[in-house]
Amino acid sequence: MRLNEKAVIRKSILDLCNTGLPRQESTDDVIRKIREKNGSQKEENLWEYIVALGAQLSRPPFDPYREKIKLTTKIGRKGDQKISLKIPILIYGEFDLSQSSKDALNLTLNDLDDDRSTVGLISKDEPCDERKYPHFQILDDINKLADPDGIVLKYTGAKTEEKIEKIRKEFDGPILVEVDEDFSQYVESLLELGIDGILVNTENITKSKRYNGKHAIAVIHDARLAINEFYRGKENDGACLVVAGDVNNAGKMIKAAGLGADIIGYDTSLLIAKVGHHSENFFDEEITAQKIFNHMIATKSELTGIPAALGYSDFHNMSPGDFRTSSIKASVQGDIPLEGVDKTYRNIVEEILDEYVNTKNISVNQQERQKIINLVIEEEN
Amino acid sequence: MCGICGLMMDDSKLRHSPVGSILQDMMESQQIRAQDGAGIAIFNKSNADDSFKIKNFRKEMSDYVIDEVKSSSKNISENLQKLRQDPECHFFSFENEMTILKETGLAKDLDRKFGIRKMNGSHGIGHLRIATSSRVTPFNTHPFSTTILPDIAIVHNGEITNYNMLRDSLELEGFTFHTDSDSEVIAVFLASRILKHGDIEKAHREFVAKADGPFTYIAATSDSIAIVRDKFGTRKGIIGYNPGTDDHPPFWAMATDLSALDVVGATTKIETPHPGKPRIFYRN
Repeated sequence: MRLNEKAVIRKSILDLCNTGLPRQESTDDVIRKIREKNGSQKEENLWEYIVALGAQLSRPPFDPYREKIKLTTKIGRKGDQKISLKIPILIYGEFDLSQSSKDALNLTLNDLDDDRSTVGLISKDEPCDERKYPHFQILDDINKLADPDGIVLKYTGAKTEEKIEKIRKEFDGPILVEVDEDFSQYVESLLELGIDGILVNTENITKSKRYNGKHAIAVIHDARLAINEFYRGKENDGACLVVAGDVNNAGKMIKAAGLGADIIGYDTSLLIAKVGHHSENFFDEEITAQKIFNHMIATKSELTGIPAALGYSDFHNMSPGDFRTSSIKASVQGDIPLEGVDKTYRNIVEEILDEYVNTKNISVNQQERQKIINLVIEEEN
Repeated sequence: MCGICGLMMDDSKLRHSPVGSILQDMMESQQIRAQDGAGIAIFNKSNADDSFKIKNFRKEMSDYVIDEVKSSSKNISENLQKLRQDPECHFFSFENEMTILKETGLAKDLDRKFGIRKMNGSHGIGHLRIATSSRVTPFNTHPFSTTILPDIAIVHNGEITNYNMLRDSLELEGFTFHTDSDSEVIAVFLASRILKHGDIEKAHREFVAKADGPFTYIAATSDSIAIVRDKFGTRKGIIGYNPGTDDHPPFWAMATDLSALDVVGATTKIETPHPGKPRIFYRN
């Protein structure tokens, strides 16, 4: 990303912090215009190729000013141990914060809870004692369990499964596991052990060999599929998918939710906490806290707009069918219908193959059919 | 802008009430709302026996004809499997005491073809369709039924906007869909929950909690009829009571437009169902 593009993002965040008002234009659009103006070759950022379908004649939009658009999310599969977030966000990222930045963040999260805009925090350290918001502790050593509401474990092979079994004996709250690129091979056994959800970091996973050349949307799509596979033949009891990484603005959050994310692991608040002193010559805890607060309230407002325009009263009701894309790659990786034809690329390949097989009177069994379709799709991916 | 209606006779002794005739009047009075298709489901306990009917629309030349497969409880799965594999077959009804009839065109055309006015029973529902998201075909016309359980029918006005999500999760649970209509998801969801806990009121409440979008639906089972509006009450729905005459027993009626209640004299105890709260009437 170029400096002028970074400046667009920074200005956009500062505007939100200072005014608390939603953006007039998404940062993605502004950056796209800069790139087009400079004649630079477009980066392969599939987020930019996904658009929301919008309301239709028979599907009028809800009015977010009149009707409440629900953002509330519950984490936990056991009825009495669920954690409730009023905005589907867990603050999570790899920023190293100073104590004063942490204090500002803590102040904000408490204020958000008072404002019925509760978001959660994932961190290694135990935040201060006067915490009102849900905290998930990243637990490397199970002997260092503090007093969190939930736990995040990083997947490190079979040892993680042993850890889960041990922790489950003394901890009733939700357990999330941050998975690596091989998640599809072990998510079912983790859910069997009773974890409450998985966390995928799209930035880390897309750098792996397995996801080489693929985009974050492929990771989200596959992770949702892995959870759904576990629930084949039964009702989902609330296992959630937390998506972190490059989902760092409201537009991407909405697209990620449509692709299957229940909660977003969001690091922009940490960025504001870290750079809170940049626009002044000193660090003022309350001013920084106010900026993080304003940014979160503006984000909350942005999160309701698109679902409402799609005819939803609940943020979590979006699905890939509510989007269209002009990119075959995005269609393949996110199972999103293509613009104009309203079918996914996979559907089109299936139809062409079936027609060919029927016309030529060739016998193809289900396994062979799937193999051919996957081969054609991989070619485009 | 579809039109829906339903009625439940309020007298246990009279199971052969003129349900068809009353429903037909209610549908014709709302014809201005929609003209692409019309359909009814009528329940009559005297039809109930040990056999089940699976009804399909089968394409013959350029027309669709109704194809009926009689099954016993032993060979139902086998027959359903066969029908699913037939691309020319479009399932529309799984019946024991219920009768579903539907067709493209006006309510009068439906009566002319099937003699709706002569049909008797204890309760029934009706629908007038204006096509918005799917083609004008007999199998896209309401009421919708399901192969999960017999004798469930629903008619619907509005849209279930999170249809894709609900359908995906029901399919994952193992339930089969037969059309691309968002209305079918109501029938499948209700049947899946009745199968799970056997409580129709709980099933309606669960559906309202999970479904999104503007809608009012009327759902009928062999023992109940319910009118349900979305949690914001963005689609109309009204209920009235006819205290009875020499020609017919008292009955509860419900519809999209007040005109449908007026025309059948269901003008007492008028109420609007509370948004998000199912209003259920049980067969005595």
